[in-house]
Amino acid sequence: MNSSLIYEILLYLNSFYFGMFALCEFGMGIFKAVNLPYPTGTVISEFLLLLFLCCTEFVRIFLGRKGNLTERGLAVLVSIGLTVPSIFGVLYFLIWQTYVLRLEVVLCAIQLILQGLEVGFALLCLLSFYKSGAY
Amino acid sequence: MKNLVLKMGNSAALILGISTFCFYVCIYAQNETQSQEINSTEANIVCTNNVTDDMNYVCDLDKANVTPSSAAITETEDFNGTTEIVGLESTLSTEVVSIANETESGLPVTISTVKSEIQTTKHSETTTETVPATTEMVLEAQPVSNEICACDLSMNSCDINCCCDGDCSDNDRLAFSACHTRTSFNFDSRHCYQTHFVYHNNTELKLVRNEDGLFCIVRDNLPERFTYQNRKVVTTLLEFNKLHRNHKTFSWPAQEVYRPLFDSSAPFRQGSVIWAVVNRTLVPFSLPMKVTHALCQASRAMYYLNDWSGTCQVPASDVERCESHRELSANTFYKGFTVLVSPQFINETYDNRLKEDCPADVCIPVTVHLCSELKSKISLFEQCTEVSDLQSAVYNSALQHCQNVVKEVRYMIYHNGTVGITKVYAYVWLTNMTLNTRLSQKFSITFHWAKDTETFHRSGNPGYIVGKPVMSGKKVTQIFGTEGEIDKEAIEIDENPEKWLSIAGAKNDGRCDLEGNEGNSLRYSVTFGENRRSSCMIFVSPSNFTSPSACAALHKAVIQLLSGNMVANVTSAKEFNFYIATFGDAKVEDTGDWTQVILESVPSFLTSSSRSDDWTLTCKGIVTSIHIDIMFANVGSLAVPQAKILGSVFRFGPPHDIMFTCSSLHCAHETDEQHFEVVSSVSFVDVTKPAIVEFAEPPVYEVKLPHDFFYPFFSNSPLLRPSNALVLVSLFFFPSVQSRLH
Repeated sequence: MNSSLIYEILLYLNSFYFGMFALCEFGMGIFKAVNLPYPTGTVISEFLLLLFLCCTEFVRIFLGRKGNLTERGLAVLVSIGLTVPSIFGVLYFLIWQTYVLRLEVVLCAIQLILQGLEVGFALLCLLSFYKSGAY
Repeated sequence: MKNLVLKMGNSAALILGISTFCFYVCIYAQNETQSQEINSTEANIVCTNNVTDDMNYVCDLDKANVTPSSAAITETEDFNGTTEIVGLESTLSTEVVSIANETESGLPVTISTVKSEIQTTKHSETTTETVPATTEMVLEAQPVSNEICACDLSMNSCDINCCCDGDCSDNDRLAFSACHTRTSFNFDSRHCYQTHFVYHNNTELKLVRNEDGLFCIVRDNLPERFTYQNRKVVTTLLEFNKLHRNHKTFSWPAQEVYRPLFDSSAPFRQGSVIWAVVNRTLVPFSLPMKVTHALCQASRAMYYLNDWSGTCQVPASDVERCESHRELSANTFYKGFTVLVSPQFINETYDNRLKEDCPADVCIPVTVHLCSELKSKISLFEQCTEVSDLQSAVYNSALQHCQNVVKEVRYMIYHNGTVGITKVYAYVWLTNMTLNTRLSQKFSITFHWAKDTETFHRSGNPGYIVGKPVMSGKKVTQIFGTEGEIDKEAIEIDENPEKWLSIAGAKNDGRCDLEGNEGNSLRYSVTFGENRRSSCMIFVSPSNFTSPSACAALHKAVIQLLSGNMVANVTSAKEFNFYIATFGDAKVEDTGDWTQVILESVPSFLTSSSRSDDWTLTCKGIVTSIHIDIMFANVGSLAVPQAKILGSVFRFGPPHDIMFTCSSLHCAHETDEQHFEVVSSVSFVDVTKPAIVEFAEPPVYEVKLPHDFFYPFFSNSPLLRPSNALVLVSLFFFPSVQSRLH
């Protein structure tokens, strides 16, 4: 029994949190697109990026939970790998997108903290898997 | 199981690959779109971020407010700081306010000090470190608009009040009273931080206020929306024309010289040219007019049924010009031509000249009247007499002036519609003028129906029309009957609209027309809806200050001038017999259509004193201004609003002391003149109420009971009859019967 409870809790929490995050981002995207001027194409690319982030996050959380519960190190490893594009995606919404709203700063910060914690616990989890030789 | 994991790993790797590819595509697309715009301010953002933490200092706003000293300047020359101001009074209450000099708005690019150069390099360094994607854009990263110092116009010299001028030293800036409006910062209320200027000072201090709200913009990565797009310089004609075609352009219309054409077949109606016949030649009937300056330079063709009036000036520079100038001589305006009744009477095709003399019923001569001075009390016809011939302008060498020059010509043309002109009258006023002066001439033409006797011009029907004179008059009471039992009230108004409500005007030299008596003075009509202010000068000499009675006379003269003889013998506001018509078509018999002008205060000369010491003579308490407030509202349908005057007030200004400062001891010079200004003004106030929907009140049902309803059992009650009693009983006891009865 090497599965990490905290990692599972974090992932479970993150799955709901990210659902909310994506919904909020989508809503704010529409809000900004309506209210503020955008260079041509930027709105579409930002929405595409959100879509990409959704996909990455879904796969990341799915693989993380699966790997944690079935004690498969590879899945957890892939999940950790997917954290990189995911973090970049969140960072994009935090820093590089055309207009950053205050709510986005808050949401992105929480998401980043969650992701950081998950990476940490995923590594601990992996370590325990390797120790017990379950891989 | 292992297979599955492998598969999952494969698919995950695939997804990872695709998604990273996607991510970079998106990032690339984003960069592409941003680099389409010329500027990117990645540099700014990073800079401010990095630097904000370095320098934080608190500065007291009050101190900065009061003394824009050199200390304050040096404090803020470190542009990269974020300054926190705590405890700001008034508009910003107790909010924490921070003063920041964002690099995007605070740094003038032209500053040539070493410091700013260092800062710029610093920016680029930090940018290259943190945002590798935009390294190549760093050099052109500064937006242009915010760095322009538009007031720096003289090179190598300090421009006065130009705070961003790099040529000015701190000491130089101390001499500035204010800063020229610099290029205004970009303002968007949706930003979390709004910048306001603390005050116009020599420093670069700006105020940033925290705005609450989750949806405010924390970071704006698109400052280009505050800058214009750059366009390339056009080098070829092809490009120029292409650009030119795509944009709206204004071109001057091709000027055509308009020459009225004679056309006998066209109907003679409003706007047709009136023709005069001079020596068998047809020319448009025209009057002198001014074009670019006051002189009579051109002549204007007169059009049928279009009333016109104009003034222009004629100079008389020498003797010869006095006698030879056409416009000065009265002959020009009635002699030597006849007026064509209607073009339709000439059948032949027009070729500049008529083949034979114009018959007398087709070409009519001008009947000329010589008029004496304009007076209000008598009508135009009484002061003018018909004459057969007028003297032409002559130079009088004894008096050294030009005699019998034309001052005013009024044409009155009687017509019969399309049938044509029936009569042409010219009313001529003559005057004398000294040489080397200019004479202001007035020409006018009016059209009247031949069948009309006397027309009275309304100021609107029913509501006032903007620009029409405000009707005013006096109330008179006529007593009929032998014992004066039937008294009839009516309003007496002048036929001449110029004699209605008016304010004092100035003569050519700016003096008030004090001498003009009984409406002869120069006054401007108060026209509906047009606010007007006019002032003139009253010149006083030491003789005006000799005694209290002289001061009182001066006071009275001013009041007369201001009110137009209306407040002459008024002692109380109620006595003020001056009425204004509420509607433009008010009838004189109907006094309800008129509203009495309210006099705010009766100007009385109480402090009648003239004081004179050696150097000043004073008249105390002279009223020098009047303000007429007229209140109106639109009534009736929204589609055709009718302006109704609700009331008006004459307000005399506060009394002033008129002083005469002597130039020499004891005011010896009796001829010395000094002046004071007398002001009259009119303003119209619109108090129209917005349209409201009003419904009729529900009708009131009056329930009537028989008069003996409550006493049905008295002997004489009709209710007590057997049949009624039966009904009553049945009503009480058999409710079912009741329904059947109905």
